[in-house]
Amino acid sequence: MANLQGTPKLITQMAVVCTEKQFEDMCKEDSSLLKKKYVYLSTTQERNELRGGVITGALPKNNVAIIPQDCSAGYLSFLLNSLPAQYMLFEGKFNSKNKTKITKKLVSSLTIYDVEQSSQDAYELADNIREIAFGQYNKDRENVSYHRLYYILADLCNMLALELYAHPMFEEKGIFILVSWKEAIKEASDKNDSSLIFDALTKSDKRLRNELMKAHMLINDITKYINSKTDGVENK
Amino acid sequence: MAWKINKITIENFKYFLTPFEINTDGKHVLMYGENGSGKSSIYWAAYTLFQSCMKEPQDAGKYFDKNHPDSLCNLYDTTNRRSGIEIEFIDDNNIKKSYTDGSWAFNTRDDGFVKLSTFASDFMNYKFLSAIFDFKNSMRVNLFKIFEDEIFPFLSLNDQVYDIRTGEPIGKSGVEDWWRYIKTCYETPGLLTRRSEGGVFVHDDKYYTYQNLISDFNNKLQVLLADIADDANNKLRDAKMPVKISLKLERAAFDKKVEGSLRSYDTKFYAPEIILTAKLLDSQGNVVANKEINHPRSFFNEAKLTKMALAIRLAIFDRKYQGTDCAKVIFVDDLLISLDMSNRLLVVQELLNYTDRYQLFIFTHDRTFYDLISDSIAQRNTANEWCYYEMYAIDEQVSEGHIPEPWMKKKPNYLQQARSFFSDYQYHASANSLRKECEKQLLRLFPKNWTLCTKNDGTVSVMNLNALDQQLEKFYERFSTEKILTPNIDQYRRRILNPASHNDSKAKVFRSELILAIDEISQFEKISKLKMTDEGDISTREFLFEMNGAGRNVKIEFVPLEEWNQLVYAGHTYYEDIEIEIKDKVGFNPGADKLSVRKLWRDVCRYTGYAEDAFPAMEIVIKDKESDLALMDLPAE
Repeated sequence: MANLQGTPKLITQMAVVCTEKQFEDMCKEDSSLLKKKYVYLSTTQERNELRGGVITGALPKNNVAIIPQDCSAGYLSFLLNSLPAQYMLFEGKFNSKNKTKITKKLVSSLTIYDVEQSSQDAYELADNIREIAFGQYNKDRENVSYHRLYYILADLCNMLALELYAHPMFEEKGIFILVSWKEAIKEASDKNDSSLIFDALTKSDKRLRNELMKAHMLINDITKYINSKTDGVENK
Repeated sequence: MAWKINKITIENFKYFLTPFEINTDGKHVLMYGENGSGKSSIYWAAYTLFQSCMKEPQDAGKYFDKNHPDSLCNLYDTTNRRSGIEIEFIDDNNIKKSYTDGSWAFNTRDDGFVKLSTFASDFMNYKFLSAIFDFKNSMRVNLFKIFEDEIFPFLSLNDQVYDIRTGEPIGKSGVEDWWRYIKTCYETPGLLTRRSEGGVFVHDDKYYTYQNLISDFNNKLQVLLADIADDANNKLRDAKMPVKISLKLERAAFDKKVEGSLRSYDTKFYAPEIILTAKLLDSQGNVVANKEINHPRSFFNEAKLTKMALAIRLAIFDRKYQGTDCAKVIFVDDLLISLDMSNRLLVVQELLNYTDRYQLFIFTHDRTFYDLISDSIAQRNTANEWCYYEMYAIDEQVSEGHIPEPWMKKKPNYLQQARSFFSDYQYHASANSLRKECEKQLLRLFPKNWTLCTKNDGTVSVMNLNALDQQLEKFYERFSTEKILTPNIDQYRRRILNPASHNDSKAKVFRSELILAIDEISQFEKISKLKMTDEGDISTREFLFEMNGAGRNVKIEFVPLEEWNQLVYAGHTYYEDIEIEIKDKVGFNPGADKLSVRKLWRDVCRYTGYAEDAFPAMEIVIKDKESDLALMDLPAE
């Protein structure tokens, strides 16, 4: 069962990556750009922190702008904040550095997946909830409940992204994160009860929670697969 | 429960020298074994095989190498016999797969099925539950050591450990993997760079990666502990215990800054601590006083401490993987030796609640406890889902070659015993077993207050078969079965279930009667008694009985004054006649506030004009008020 349909592309094939100056110039030429959603990414990335997101209007200082062309801004934000992209942005030194400098060139070298709109929406929702949880956690870092909530949602986003980058291995192992995430969203939406999303992630009998656990247990195979591919992207 | 253990074979491992097999047929296992009979070796054999999937071949193999210091080969092996463990799994479609961890084969390594099964399964022994009692009153309850030994091997931190030299993930995410690697890094000379022998650490990439590693471990473990504490508190709330526990992590640390200094670091490694504290709750679930109970051992009695420990242990268990694509097994080895019998019962009931999702292996050396579990299983009508074993040690003084060896027998239930004795021409013994079976079944089926009698000296005892049998007809009447399902019990009781009154000369008559008696008494096993309400529903849960007819509209609300059961036999369901109390009535006066539910039903049917042979069924017209479900649709267990 194929649960992902998409093709790997350079980020520049799906979005325009620009510096502060370039963004400013583009806005001067086309002021409607200021009303569109795009992604900002801090030029200083800190390990395990969210340093980017979706905005409209002027680009804050010390950021790179990524303007979506063939995808949604939320989907781009989801990808850039997730572990595979973070590993690439830290140039393989994610675990030995606490900070790294981001340049337009570095961002432009990222490979991302072009996926259908309904999947982009699902990824975007995961990223939105993660961002809200991060906001709470950031206000009170001693609060274990906030920490836990953020951790669980960050894990969901990381695994969703990892599934994109290693989907043949996920399929081979019978792990379906996106499919079960979509199921959870549908159930919560049908029953108009957003708490069901959290239940899907935490309750022991829920499919999504168990799919995530399975991915963690079989991570060795997934890691080996990713290492065997150039930049984590399958050679097609 | 998709996959189950079908067979375990052990050879030249711990207690077992020659090949030893335990067959389960995919059922749960309850095993009594006297001390030193080898039951714990079965527990450790299964543990060893499950764990081997995460080990390097040399690590997994050392237990089967006679010359290795960690060898677990049988001490009496003089012939370099092969050593190992084999487990065969079976699924619902009878598909089998087999795994071996031994000197001749090793096929569990990195195997997805075994890995998932390992993280889905659990091994429980007395150590965790008793650990909570092991602290002096004045000591903080630091559970880190017991977590390290008993819990970490089975939990994942949901992220990979990474190599501090490269920062690259090493493909392991178990809590034990993290902790072991962190310790190893500190303990391995030269891995972290020092300025001189015993000197300060150089703050290079490896140093920062190591600090990141420790920080990640702390963060992830803290989240895991918060999860466990949350779940344990839910369990305590369900058990109506007004306590909120907390598992606070005192973080692992390395090379702390020396207090008062700007640039000096102490070069030390600090192991983490997991501190258990508790707070009391009021009836609304709010914390009574915001003061933490730091020494639960001095504050709570043993029963409450047991409930707390069990809630934590089961919360840990619930953190496990619960997919259906693996075997989910719980091994329990003398879990409760530190507890008194009432607390053991509490734990047993909790464990038996897992039987629909897990295959259980319960080992005990305590015969009374074995009987207690066996009775609890019978109460749940699930005896046929279990294999019962007894294990004994054949003493080396009389065993072949003077090597101690195990002796295991499948323990039959009384009915199986009766059949077995009969086949062996031991009719008196067969009848004795049959009598016990009959008593056991009547005790299972009858309401508890029908099974106890008060003696002249005021003590209460369980009735014998004679007294129980007097009530059998009344019992069937209570369920309005179409006929007496076991009509000849009284006759068998008087004539053959008292074999001492017979002698061999009557053996022929006795034999033919015994055949009939075995056949009839075996019918009891086929009668399931299912609860529609439980003790907590008595006098509280409301039922509604509405009927219209002959221009009359009747609506009556009532509560049960007894537990309400149904009997299921040969595809038919029979509903119990119980005492009820009327709470509200419209259109009909039953004549009394308390009466039998069947009398009420009959009276109302007549009152609303139904012919005697056309009454609408009681189970259709009576409904649970809250759910609006008819009696026949109520979940029964």
